[in-house]
Amino acid sequence: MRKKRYGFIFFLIPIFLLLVVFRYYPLFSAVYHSFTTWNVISSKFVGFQNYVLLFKDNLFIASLRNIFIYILVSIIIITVMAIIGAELIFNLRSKLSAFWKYLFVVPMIVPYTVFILIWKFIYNPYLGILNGSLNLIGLSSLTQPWLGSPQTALYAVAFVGFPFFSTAQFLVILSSLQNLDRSILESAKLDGATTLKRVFKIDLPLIMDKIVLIIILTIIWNFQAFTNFYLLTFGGPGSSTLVPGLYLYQMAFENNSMGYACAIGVIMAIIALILVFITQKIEQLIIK
Amino acid sequence: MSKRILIFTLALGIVMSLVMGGIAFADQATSTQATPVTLTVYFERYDYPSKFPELAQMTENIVKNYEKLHPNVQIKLIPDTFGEETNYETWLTAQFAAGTEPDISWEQYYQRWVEKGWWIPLNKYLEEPDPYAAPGQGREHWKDCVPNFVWDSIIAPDGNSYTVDLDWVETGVFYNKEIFDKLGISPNFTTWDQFMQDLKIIKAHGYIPFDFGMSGTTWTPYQWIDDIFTTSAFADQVPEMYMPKYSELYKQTYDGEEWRVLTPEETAKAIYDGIYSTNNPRFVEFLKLMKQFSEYWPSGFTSLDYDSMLSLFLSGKAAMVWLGSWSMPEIAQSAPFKWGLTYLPPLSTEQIPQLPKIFQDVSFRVGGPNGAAQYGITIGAEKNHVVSWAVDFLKYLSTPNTMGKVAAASEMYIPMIKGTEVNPAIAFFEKIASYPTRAFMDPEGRFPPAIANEYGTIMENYLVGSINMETAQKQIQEVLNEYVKEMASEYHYSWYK
Repeated sequence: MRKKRYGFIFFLIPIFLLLVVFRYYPLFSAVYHSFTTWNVISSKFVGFQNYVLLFKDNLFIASLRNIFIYILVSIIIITVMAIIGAELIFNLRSKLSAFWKYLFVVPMIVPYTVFILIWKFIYNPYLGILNGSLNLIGLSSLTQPWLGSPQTALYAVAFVGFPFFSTAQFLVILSSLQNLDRSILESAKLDGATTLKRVFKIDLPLIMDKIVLIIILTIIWNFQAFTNFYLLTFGGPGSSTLVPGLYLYQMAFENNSMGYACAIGVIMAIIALILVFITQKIEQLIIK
Repeated sequence: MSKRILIFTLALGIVMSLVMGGIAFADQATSTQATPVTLTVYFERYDYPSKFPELAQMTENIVKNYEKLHPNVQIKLIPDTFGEETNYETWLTAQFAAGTEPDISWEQYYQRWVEKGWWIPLNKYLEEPDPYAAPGQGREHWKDCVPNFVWDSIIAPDGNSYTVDLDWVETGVFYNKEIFDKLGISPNFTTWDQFMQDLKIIKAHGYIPFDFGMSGTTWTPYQWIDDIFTTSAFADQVPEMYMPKYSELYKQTYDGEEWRVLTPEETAKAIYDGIYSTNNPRFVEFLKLMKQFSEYWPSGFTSLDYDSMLSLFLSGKAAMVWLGSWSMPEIAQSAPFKWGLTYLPPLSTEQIPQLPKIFQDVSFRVGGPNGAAQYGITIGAEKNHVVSWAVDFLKYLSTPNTMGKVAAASEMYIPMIKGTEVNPAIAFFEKIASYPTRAFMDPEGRFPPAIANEYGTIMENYLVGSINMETAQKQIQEVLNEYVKEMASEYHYSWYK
């Protein structure tokens, strides 16, 4: 009988310690401090007061509404564009297909902040490329203060990164397509299926689990959205682009209400978990 | 017997070690001059080597001279590498959380009010004599290093002073001379009506009349226009808002009448008394003026921050931009056109029927103690037992030959230290500084950050047309009431029932 070996535990301990210190400790600390008025150097237990105030806070409610719209818009455009981009590359029967793939992926190495600042310039109402291009092609009537109007600001932020080919979602879909069984695709071709028909009848159903995965990832990442809103609008005009991540930051670092900020963080985590749970249930229903 | 001796010896040992420990932990400045002391100091723009190398050199020389004077003291400088103020705030919060905060640090004076327990009150030290003051300057106490109106502007809601403020920001309207000449407009605006007419002409010629932004990542001039319009609208009622306890402390006048910045408590009481109220017709005038003026701001002004505003002006698309004295070096260096400085004209009874006579021919200034020399002592200094040395170093900085010289050389700020010569390059701003002060502080300083944020959001919604005037009035009144309630429960104001 083979003797059980426990040496591996020693190799796991450092990782486990790092996980505890940098992941679990902040998590439990945030949950604990959400029940206090914490200003970094002292805290007082206040029970559920922060949560009660939070659900009466109009700005927080507005931030939730904005983030749901933002997630919905993002899911639709990112998923659709990721599928379109991946199918274009996948169906390209040329020696240059690898080149196109790299071309789509290379922009991912641009630092995110730089990328956002470029979009800020694109949207500038007077000096930006977008309005400049519209003026150039005689569509001046369509020019807008994209980030400065409550009607367009949230959607403008959601469209940052368009056409979304340089995303992890695009890579997930592309690799799933490349892993499809070639014999199925060949059979479809022999049976006379057009490319479009094959995409809808074969490709998409076969990679549905990956599509659900990218939807889950988009929900999780976008629910925590902060940098793009911080750099582009800081929540304005008014509260039209205020999102929970940004509100949490404002409460923590401008108002020094760390306890309140922790309560926002806890609520964000709970909502994200619920959204992921719902998405997984939908996935199970679709796969059935 | 031997047991008793042992217990006695042990007890004596414990007592002695406690006493010795106490001595060792006592503030090092009071124990012995030779005890090595390290002070960590953050000077903000005055030690920003990558952007202002000459100023940083001057500051470092001051530090070296202080170290020569006190060989046991070593000063560690934390250079400004933060770029934006929000980055600094995040860093400072993290330092306090980790217990590694500097002993002396810069901070916007009003931000200290919400950073409760981070900073130590300086009141008792301000009454101390200042060993570095030159004789004959009339500086009996440390607080005499700057004029009274500086202290008046930075008093906290609890009545304490947490900041020593050695310089001053003033503002001016930078204008594009080429556009003005082309359109035949004089930059010497005399009345508000004429100013509006000029803005109309500029707009009709395809220029942005008044470059303006409200995006919140950095400071924007929205704060100032709110001050001027609120002050003008309520000017006749401001004297009713003054509380005797502050008037006795910081008596100031304009044209013989008491006139100074309202303290946070006075603002709260004015709301409580129903004077500073959105139901007051004066508030409606304020909102109307704001809306009227916003017609001449750039399209999408709510998304423009300081950098975007500056770029717009420098691109030659905007005729004017209202910025602080700190922007002058940048504009001087980058503007590809001839530019000049002017200021907003005074409002009149045409706009505000109840505007007092003394303010009908003069504009309000909005400058304030928001410069680079706003220093406070943190609780870190207390933990490190170096408060006395921190105070001593700040006293050393409060002379015309030290920070006075640096502020003057900056060409960005007006030195506030008495006896400092003002740099002729900022003479224009010094002239503006002689105008009567606004009574209402910037919303950022008037209210705590969360309230200021809510107030700003409502004003943005109103200005972009998302809500109408009635809704704005209703929502702002709720915010004002919330402010009074919060302040009264925090500071136990006796007038609040």
